[in-house]
Amino acid sequence: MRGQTSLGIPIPMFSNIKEQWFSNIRGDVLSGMVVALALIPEAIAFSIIAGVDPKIGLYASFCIAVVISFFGGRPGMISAATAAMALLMTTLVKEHGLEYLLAATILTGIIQIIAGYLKLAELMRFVSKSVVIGFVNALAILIFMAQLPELTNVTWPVYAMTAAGLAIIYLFPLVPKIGSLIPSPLVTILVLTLVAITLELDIRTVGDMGQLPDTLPVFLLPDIPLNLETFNIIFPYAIALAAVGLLESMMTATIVDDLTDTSSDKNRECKGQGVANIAAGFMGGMAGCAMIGQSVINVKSGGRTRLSTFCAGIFLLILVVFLSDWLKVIPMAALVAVMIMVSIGTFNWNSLKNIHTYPLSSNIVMIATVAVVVATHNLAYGVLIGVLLSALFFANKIERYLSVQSTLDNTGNTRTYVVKGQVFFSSADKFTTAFDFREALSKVVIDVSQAHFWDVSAVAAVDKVVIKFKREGTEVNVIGMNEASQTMIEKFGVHVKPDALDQLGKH
Amino acid sequence: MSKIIACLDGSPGTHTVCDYAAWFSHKLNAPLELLHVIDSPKAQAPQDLSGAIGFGSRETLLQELVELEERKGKIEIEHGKVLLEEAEKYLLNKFNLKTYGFQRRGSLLETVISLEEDIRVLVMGKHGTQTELRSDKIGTQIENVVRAIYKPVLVTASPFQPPQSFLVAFDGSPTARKCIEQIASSPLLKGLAAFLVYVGHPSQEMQNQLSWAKQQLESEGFTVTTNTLEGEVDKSIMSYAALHQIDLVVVGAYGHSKIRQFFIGSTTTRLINRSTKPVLLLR
Repeated sequence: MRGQTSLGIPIPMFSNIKEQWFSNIRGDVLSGMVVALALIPEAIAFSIIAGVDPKIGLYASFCIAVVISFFGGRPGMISAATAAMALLMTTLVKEHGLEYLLAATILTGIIQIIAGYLKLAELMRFVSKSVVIGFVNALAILIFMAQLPELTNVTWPVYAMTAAGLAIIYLFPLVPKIGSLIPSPLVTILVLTLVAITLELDIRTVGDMGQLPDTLPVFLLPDIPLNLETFNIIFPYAIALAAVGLLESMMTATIVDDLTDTSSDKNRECKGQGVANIAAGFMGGMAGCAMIGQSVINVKSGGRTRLSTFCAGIFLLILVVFLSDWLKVIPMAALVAVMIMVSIGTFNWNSLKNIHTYPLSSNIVMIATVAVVVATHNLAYGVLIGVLLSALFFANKIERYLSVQSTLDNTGNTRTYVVKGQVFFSSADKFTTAFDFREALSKVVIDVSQAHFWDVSAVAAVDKVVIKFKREGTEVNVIGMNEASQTMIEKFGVHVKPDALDQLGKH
Repeated sequence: MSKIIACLDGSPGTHTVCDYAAWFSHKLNAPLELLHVIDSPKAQAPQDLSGAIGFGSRETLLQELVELEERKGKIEIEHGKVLLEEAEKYLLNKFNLKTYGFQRRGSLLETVISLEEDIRVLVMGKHGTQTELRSDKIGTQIENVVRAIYKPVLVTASPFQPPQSFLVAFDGSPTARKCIEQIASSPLLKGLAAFLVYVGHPSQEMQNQLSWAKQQLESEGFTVTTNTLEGEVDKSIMSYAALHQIDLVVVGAYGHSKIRQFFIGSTTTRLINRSTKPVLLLR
């Protein structure tokens, strides 16, 4: 049978374009506007985290959103400048400056495209649900922490403004009719800006944070020496950026898949992220990736196709270029309120509720992921620790599926050990200690035909047992070794066949 | 096992599709299955442009969407069931034929491709629900389906008439020669009068080709009439078919690439468009 999957089918090009772009025009255009409005405070906030002018984040958000709408693998997902990426750039910008950031952004894109061709998206299957929850929660905490500088050592009007902003964000949608028609973050920004201007409050505004865009982005080459030294500076950053960008993008894609009950092409998404970052780098923008909060807002506002992402990017550019004079007077407190909303919306609150019902190991994985991220500000480390811990806990669980039972025959001279279950590095010691070497016997039979030997540690453990018995003067007969070691991964060629499980059961 | 599969979508031609499918089922002694594909887009959530996300928004949103789609999905399944039941009843009453109706979700194209192995002949209506009776447009799905699978596809049209004769549009191309071999070797059209038609300037080469084709069919017991016509392919074939009261037009479908078709158009598509007779497409 040909083309069973949605990828292999020769779907005609034109109907595909219609489906992925124009099947939901009204919903997509409206949600694009809502997302664009919410992207402005985010892009400004993340630029500040990275230590660059707000225009770098705004240009990046525009470029990434527009480019990913064409090249991405998940229609309806929003990508732009993100907190996760911005946090990784801070030292690079501080030590080497903006031009190196742009170069690192381009290199990030190249690495991501390579990852897409190597189909690294498939590695996501090793990232367990607990790690994903930990990642999302850590991200929410990082976004919140990034707002703290704006909230420490400030005058009381800032606190009042932020609190008022949050109140408007969450209470305005409850207003009948207009509540669900006008984005409440926009209302917050407008109201707080008007209040700040009329009361002539002396608080920080967006204009104080750096340069805002006044023109359309232009193509430019990063002004850096093209040599090995430059490469050595930017490469570690680019690798980290590429990894975190892909991780967050893959997780967001899964969230959007679930919400919309549709499938996405994850490897295409990797390549799309790469193309988008390269474009951003050449247009003077910082690296970005998919955004969990914004993607949820997009789906909630009715966005489903590529058109929604495209519109978000285009509206963002129009708003920013033509309203930059107005953007300058927005008080930072308004942005902080919006960012706290994004943080709250990103956090997986159910995970706190479920913490009593989940197994301890899952909770440890989740909390370890969060802790490592909060400590290092690098989401990739958190995921790495999470995946390692998950693997260890899994090995620990599987090693319990090993039993060694023995019977003494009538003569009292021969003992038969029957080994059942999984023998591998983690359970090898348990396997060895299950034998009683002190028992003086003339013969021992070890039946391993119902055991599965997964690695070299397992085979070595059997050898060790045999040698130990020999030293005691006991004759050892191992039966079923061939069947058992057939299951060793290296020779394990049956896993592609549907009866692989039955074959396993036969041992 | 190979089956005749009839695609039903509730468009006006549903009964004709059933009739032809039943005829093939009888002729080939193959079971008939009725397929209804649910490919409507997802339910539209109520517009919420508040743009605010808070405690558990993701979970709430997911729950809302699931409920909406659940309701919509149930109605669609129910609608399809009624359609299939009616068709089954119709076939049982008219032809005393027991059929099996089933529903699938997804696009028609995906569904047909996944069923391809089991298909003997696929029967579709000329007009889908979206191109209702506008004779200048064939159902949007037909060409995509015909291009995607390598099984015969019958595109029905006009009121049902048990086929007595068929016409083969023959141009000597490899696709056409394959098509002749397929007809000769299959019980599909056995016992029907065959008309072998070539459109274009007559040449010695063409005469050879035609006599080869004629011989192929005659050796399998067909009565063959050959003819050479001039003029535009689709028009001449259709007027010839009308003149000789031919009941079925057979063509080797889409021998050319999609790119070529983009520039010069497809004879097959034009033929289906213009035809007032059912068209059997072989690949």
